[in-house]
Amino acid sequence: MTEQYQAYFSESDPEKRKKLLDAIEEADGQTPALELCRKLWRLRYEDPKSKRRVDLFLWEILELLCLYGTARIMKKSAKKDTEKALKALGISLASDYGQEGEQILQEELRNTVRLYLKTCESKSYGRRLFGLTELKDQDRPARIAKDMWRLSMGLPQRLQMTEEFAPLAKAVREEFCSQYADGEALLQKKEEEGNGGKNQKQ
Amino acid sequence: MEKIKNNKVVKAIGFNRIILIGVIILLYLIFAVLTPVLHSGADFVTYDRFMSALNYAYFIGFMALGVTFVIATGGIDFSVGPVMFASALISGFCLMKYNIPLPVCLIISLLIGLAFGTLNGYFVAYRFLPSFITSMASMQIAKGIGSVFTKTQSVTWPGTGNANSWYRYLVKWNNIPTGLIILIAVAVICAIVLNKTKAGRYMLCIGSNKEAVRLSGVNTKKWEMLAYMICGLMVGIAAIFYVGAYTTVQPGLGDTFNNEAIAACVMGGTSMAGGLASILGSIIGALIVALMQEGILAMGFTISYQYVLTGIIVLVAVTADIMSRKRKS
Repeated sequence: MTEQYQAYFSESDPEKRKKLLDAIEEADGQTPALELCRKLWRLRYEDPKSKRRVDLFLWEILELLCLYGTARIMKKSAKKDTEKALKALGISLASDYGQEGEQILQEELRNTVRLYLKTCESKSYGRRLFGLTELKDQDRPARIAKDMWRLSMGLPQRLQMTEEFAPLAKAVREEFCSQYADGEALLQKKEEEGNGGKNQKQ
Repeated sequence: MEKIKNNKVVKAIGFNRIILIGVIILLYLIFAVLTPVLHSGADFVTYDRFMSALNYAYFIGFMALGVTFVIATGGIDFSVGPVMFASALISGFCLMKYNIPLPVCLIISLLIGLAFGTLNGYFVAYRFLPSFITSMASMQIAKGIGSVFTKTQSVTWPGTGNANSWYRYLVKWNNIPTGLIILIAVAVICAIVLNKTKAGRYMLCIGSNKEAVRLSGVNTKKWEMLAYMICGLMVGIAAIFYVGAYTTVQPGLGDTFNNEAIAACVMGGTSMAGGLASILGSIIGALIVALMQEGILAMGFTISYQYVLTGIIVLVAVTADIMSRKRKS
């Protein structure tokens, strides 16, 4: 992957990302990789129903986390909603572009997970007890790990959709472990806890 | 224990809910045995006691449903009890003093609840005030408005036999607990809204990670405010069911019901951190609160014991929630 693509996948601002894609086009011309990047960009940031700036990939991550809670009781409808969410994440798009397409999709999903992890540093994420108290800094990684586990293992296992989740699960694990030195251990702990923490509250 | 937890039926209903249903049955049995012993001549297993417990469950249940939406967004509403009383007082005063038609008064009750919900929602979502401060302030406002409007006089809604008493059919009609049917129907609607609509998803996601929801392009202020508005509307409905059951409302009261509604939610499995809510759990929680209130009265104790017990329940429920999260993280 060229430096320009690396810059594109490490940027989180949609407008800057678009400019980076334009720069790639100027340098390399139209390529299948660029075409897929543009498709994913449109899928992620364009919503004809909304006038606001959107990040639909980030929303789908949230929706999948939410579905984990409902998947136990309303399994059928949760499965349907999950399929929709995975489609909205562009997972089916990449297969037409071969191995390179899968790599691009991976990077795009990692970019989304990175943004999600950044939001986990916010005050609202650490809110506890009706917003009266906050989570201690040292407790945050465990809570984030719980979310990451739900996305990468919990929900796929609960809905028996491990294969469909594979690209997302890989991106989630890789990004989480790249940001937290003990990421793998935290995820492993969640896994051991019990198919873990399926009765857990947020 | 793991075997039970992994059972298909237990999994579908939820282990916590089964425990709560078990608690209801256990409480009922305890009160059935202890009432004749502690209060000679009294019997807990009667139709009247059952209906009386349901009367209490209705308005607590509606308030608990409303508070569930607020807690789901990570906030809290401590004003539900006094707002319910203010709604019942003002609309009742309009009915009895100014002869405003009953249907209009019922709508006034809903609108007062909605207005307080909107006020709370506006200050929390758009002015970023902590929800507990906002709702404490509106609790005082509601108590004050109720007293000022009625000149600190209690209000008695039309009783049975009056031409205007048809509103009581909402609670009970020909010995059929219509209130229970309505409560269940509203709970089903709430469950659909919370779990199956975009609005519900937004509210739940706001409770778990508001910043991510905002960055994904959702108008978090609007949806957070909507949760408080739904809560207000539910409180307005609770007011109608309160007067439907008891007819008389006194100004300056209602705070004790806050704790009971919140206790019902927390007992039912709604997370105090937000992001996770159970409508069914809140209804079961309200039934437990109502059963305890009825049981304590049946055993011959005063209502003050109910306050003590509710306080203890809140402490136990909150501690259990915190401990379970600590243990699991």
